[in-house]
This record gives sequence, structure tokens and C-alpha cells, in this order.
Amino acid sequence: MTDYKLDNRTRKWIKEERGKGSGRDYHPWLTVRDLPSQGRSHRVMGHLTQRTHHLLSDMELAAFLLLEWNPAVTDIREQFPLRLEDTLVLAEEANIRHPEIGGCTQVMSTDFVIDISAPSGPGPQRMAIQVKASSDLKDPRTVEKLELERRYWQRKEVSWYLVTEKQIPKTVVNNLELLYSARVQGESPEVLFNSLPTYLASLNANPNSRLPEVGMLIDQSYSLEPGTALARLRALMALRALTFDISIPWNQLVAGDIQVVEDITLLRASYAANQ
Amino acid sequence: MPSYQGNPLIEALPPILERKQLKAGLGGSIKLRPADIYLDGETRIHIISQLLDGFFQPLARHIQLESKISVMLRGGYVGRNLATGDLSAHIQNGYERIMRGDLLDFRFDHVESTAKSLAFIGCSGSGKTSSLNRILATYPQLIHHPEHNFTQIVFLKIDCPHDGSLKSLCHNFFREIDSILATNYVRRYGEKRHSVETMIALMSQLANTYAIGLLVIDEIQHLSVRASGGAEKMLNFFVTLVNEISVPVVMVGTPKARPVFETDLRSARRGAGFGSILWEPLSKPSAEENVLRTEWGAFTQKLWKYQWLTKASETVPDELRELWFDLSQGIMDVVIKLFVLSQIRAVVTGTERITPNIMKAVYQDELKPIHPMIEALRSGDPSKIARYSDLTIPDIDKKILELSNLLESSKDQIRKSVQYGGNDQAIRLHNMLVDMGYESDLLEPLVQRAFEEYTDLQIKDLMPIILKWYQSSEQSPPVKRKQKPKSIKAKDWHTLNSDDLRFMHSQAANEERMLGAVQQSGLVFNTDQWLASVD
Repeated sequence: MTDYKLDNRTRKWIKEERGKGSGRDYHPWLTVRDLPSQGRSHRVMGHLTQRTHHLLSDMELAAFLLLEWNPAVTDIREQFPLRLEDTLVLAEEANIRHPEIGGCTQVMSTDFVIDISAPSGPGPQRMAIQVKASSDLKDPRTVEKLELERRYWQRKEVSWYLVTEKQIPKTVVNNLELLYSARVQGESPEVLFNSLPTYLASLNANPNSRLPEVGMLIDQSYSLEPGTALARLRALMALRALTFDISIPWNQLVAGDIQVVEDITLLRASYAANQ
Repeated sequence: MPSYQGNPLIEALPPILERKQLKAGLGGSIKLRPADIYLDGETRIHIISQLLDGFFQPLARHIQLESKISVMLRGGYVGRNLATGDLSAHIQNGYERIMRGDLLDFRFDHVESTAKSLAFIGCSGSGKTSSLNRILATYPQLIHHPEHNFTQIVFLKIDCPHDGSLKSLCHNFFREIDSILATNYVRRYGEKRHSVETMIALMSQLANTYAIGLLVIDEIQHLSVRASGGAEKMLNFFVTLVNEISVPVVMVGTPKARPVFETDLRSARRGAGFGSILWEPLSKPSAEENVLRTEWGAFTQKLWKYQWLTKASETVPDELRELWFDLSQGIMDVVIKLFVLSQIRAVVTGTERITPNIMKAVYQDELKPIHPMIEALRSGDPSKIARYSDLTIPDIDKKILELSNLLESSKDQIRKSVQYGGNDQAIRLHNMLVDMGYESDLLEPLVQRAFEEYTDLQIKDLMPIILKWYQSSEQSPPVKRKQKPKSIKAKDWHTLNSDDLRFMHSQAANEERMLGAVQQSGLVFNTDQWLASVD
């Protein structure tokens, strides 16, 4: 059972404690630098974890945005390594060849492992997510590795889900990307929350106008630099102080589609605590 | 029932069945023993094949048929009371008819007939004959009345001859009576050069002499109008039986027989004397109905229980149930045959559960002859349906034989052929252990040893002993572990568990189907739900 061989790289990574830690201190098993580029890889700052996430494809980025958007998520770990001893046993049980390269056993990894703790939910939970293009499901070897992964998480009593491009709605992801960047450039949440009543009044006064028009009106009446109000509007939406149906394409939104969050003090408090 | 009282012919019949007794009486006789699932494939094929004849699920239509037959049978005897002489009058009238050769002749005043007739029409394979046989089997066929020195035939069932001729029908009638009473009417009446008229009169006389309670004539669609006006004459004869001699008649046929009833207005009215029963294939449940409450749902659900496969699921998967209907169009015979053949194929291939792929393959490979019929039914075009109404599935036993031969040749690959000198129990135990995940070269000697050392123990007691040996031997050094797990080849993935992604892959034609299957097992991320939980 114990007669496996590791290559130098894997041994080094284990020594570096990759895959360990949580929140800010988590180190992914694989980083963007470790792999030859396959499509587009991304390094993005996580608003939740306050660290750089290593995402190896556009699809992983889209999945990441979807996951981060849910306020119940408390931690996101990407490229999460599976315990080698366990996958070896499972591979034998399932009669699947364990991944190896040149005689050296490879550590398997799952794309995302997230912690969830919804205020109304059943308490902290874990969820594992693997991102794959649906065309990969044709390949028997991919299916074997997925089956190993499924068994691994089943054994750990963690729900495991597959995400393919069919689970990633384009409109939603476009919106999420926009909101993501709105938060990066934004001012401090405190300032934004204070300006909320002003924006709300303008939105309510022009329910059929598109957001850029509303922004322009506010810019004019407060003599702001053009675009400032729209950027703040977006930032408020990114903070979820203002909410809307995320499946409506961004450029079709009108002021009437926007609602204000019910308990603004609670939201404020949660952001204040995170600072 | 006052009109039944004092009539020995009726009083000798078993009491009218209550619905519950009836259901129990009609139901099939197959035994479900869970442990049989672990028998070797060869034996299981035999067990599964029983379904072809042994499975019967009483439905509302069977209850209705039974009550009609029950009423007809008793009602027919009302006008032929053995104790009052009504029957003797019938017999004397019958004698006059033989002597004069005129069916309308009689000496005594005409005795009121209380007999009725029933036309029973249903698609081939809808279970007409088997239902009738089961219903009739709830009655004794012969009852002897010692006090009257009289033998009563409760029911007589004959098939319409293939050539549609009257003469052969009469022969069948005599032969049937001979076979139950050990008489020699075929020789006495049938082999003489009697005219058809005389033979018919002889038949009616016999029907009276033995007080035949119910005459069932099956395969009525063979009555050919071409065969010398046979159809009309025969129908006339049935009408006479019903009307003059008081024998209730059930005419059974496929929809092809309908024109026969409609050729002659008088016969048509008579043919439908006690109404007609029309059995259509089970109908497809509509979307808003609860499938399990429909006849189709109840039937398939019940049938589904009769599986001897190690990986069978508890309930019928929706997708499979839809396919099943599509391929059978609700014809019960086809429903059962598809099920039986699919199950056998699942045993032979080692898939050990019925999947849509297997059922499709069975339909394609084994049920070719009925494809035109199924397609006609699917089209819903009545003229096309009538054209194929007589198609039956030929050589079903041959198909089973072929499949089991296949098992013989592929046995070694599926499961290590186990010898045990044909010891049933040992084979079952071995298969059970393999199924629990103890597949190993160790198993065979251990099972062998267990049976030698503990000859008096049951399987359930042997199991822990073997497991203990198994585990201790596993830890001991001489048993060398395999170096690397040998992977299961993709072509054998269909033998894996239903929740194994590799199994899903083996069943899916493309990645879309694969994703669908993964989704069904709840392993695909639900974006909508995820986003809905954000607010």
C-alpha cells in the first residue's frame, strides 16, 4: 500500500505546505505558474479571502465568480489537493489506475472546496466542486478520475458537484464580472452606504430610465465628475446594498429593476466586521 | 338470489367470489425469494422465464370480466332447472331437432331461455385467453350430481379452427368433451358423414345432456366469411345455442373479428347480447396523472418486483417506464416479454439491472417480428392496427435458449466459474460474497472449506465464519497484494453500480446524455438554486 514514489516537485510542494491553511493563508496545490498555459488562466484578488486566487481557465473564473457571489460562502480554496493515502486506497477499491507520471504517483486535486455557513442554514458545511468542459465527459480516463474524486468526497461526507459550461449562464457571469470589478475600484463601503439614500431617491424617481441615465442625472445635480455616480451605483450593487435579478443582462437593466436590501444595518455591520 | 335457489346446477357451483378472494385467486403463483438473486445465471434464467406464464396482475378489467362471466354462467342455468324438468324439455326438444334435422323444430312448449352471449374483443397479446383461463379455473369443470345421476359440465372452451370451417369446429367441440369425460363422441358423431346441420343439432343435444354452463369460443377471428358461408352459419348456430338451448356463449377474438359480428344484423345484435367487452392495450398515462394510480403504472410496478438481478433498483425509473411503454404500446404480452428478455440479457451481460439501453437492444434484436405492429399502434391509425392485429411474438423460448447459450460462453468472463460440485448453496454464498466486495482468489477455497467443516450450518451462519477467515488471511503475509490496482476496462463498465460515473458513461451515447445521468444522481451543480439562495 505504501509503495508509491513521489517526484521531486510533489515532495517540494508538500514541504511548502501547499493545500494547507484557510482564508488569506491558503496555498493552492497548483498555481498558474506551475502549468503550461492551456487557454486563459487568471489571477484574481478574492474579495472574500483577501488573497490572490489561481484560476486555470475562463470556466474556473466563471465558477469562482458564481461561488464568491453567494454571501453564505465563508472560504474558497481552489486547486485543493486530495489526501494521497486515501485516493490510493479508493483507486484500488474501485479498480481505477491512480494518476501517475513516469512512475511517480501524482496528487489529485479538486478545483474548488468551499465552506458555507448560511445564517438560516444547518451550520457550517463543505462543498467540493469540479469544473469540466462537458466534452471532456466523453473521455473514459476523465470519467475514471472523476469517479475517484466522487468516491473521495463521498467518503468524507462532503457534497461534490460537477460544473460544466452548461451550468454557467453567460449573462449571469457577465454581470458578476462587472460587479466584481466595480468593487475593486470602489470607495470604502462606509462612504458608499452613506450615499445610499440619494441614489435610492433618484432610482425611485426614474423607474423606466436605464442606469447610465440615472447616473448622469445625479452627476449633474451634484456637480460630480461624469461617470462617478454610475460607478458608485455599481459598487452599491456589488456590495448587495442594491439588488437585482442577476439573470437580466446588465445593459437592459432599468432603475425599476433595482431593489434596496431589506436590512441595511445588518449588511453594514457585516462589512464593517470584515474590514 | 331467489332465482338461483332450488336449482341444483347453480347450487353445486362454488359461492360467488368476493373481490378480495378473486384477486387472490387470479394472481400469479411465482415465488419471490430474495436469496435467489444470488443464484448463478443459468438458474436465474429459468426463474425469470417463469414470468412468461406465471405472472398475472388482476386489474379492473379482469374483475369486470369475471363478474360478467359469473352472471352469465348462473343466469344461463336459471332456465334449465334440473329439478323442475325444464332441462328435460330442452333435451326432448333437442332430440326432435336431431330427428328432423331442423334447428327450429320443437315438441314441447318453448322454454324461456335465460342465456346471454358476450362478445369479447381485444388486441392480440392483451391477455384475453390467459385471463379467461384463470377465471374459468376458479370453477370446477365437472360436477357430478349423484341424486339425479347427472354430470354437469360447467364450462367448455374450444378454439375456432384455423380454416374457419364449421365441420372442424364441431370436431373441436366433440374432442373437447371427449377429453374431459373420456367419451368417444368424435368417433360416434364426428367421423360419420353427418351433414353440418346434423352435427350442430348433435352438439346442442350434448350441450343439454351435460348442461354445459358456458361455452367459450376462442379465436373467433378465424371464422372466415369465405369458407362456404361458414361465418354466418356459425353465428346462427351460436345464436341458436343461446336462444333455444339456453347455453351462454362467450365469443373471444381480436378486432379482426369485428366485421364477422357486423355482417348480419341479427347476429350482431345477438353477439352483443350481454354487451361486448373491448380490451384495448393499456393506455399511456397522461402527464398530470399520478403514474402509479394508472393501470399501466400498477402493472409495471408489480412486474418490476419480479427481478432477480443484484443491482436492480426498487422502483421503475421514469425514463425506463416511458421507453417501456413506447416499445410495448401497452400490449401486456409485449410488456412482459420485453421485461423478461431484458432481465435475461442483464444477467447474461453482467449488467445486472435493466437499463434503457438493454431494453432498446432487446426490442431491436429479439422482437423484430412485432415492429410493424408496434409502429401501427404508435401511429394510432385504426386501419393499420387492424392489419396487424393478429401478430404474435414467435419463438420466445428459442430466444431465451439463445441467450442462455450466450451466458454459457461468456460465463468465465463475467464471474469466475465456480465449481463447488454443483452445490447450489455454495454458489449462492460465493456470489453473495463477491457482491459484497470480497472478490478474491481466496474465496473459493474458503467457501469450500466452510461447507466441508460445517455441514450442518445455514448460509447465514456460514457467512460470518468465512468473513473471519477471509480477514485473517488478508492480514497474513503470504497473501501478496496486487502491485497496482487493475483498472476495469471501459467495455465492462456496464457491470458497475448504478451510482458509479463509469457506469453512467457506459450507458450514455454522448456527453449530453452523460451529463443528464450525472444530473439525475444529483451530482451536477445547480446554478439556479445557488443564485436563488443569494437573496
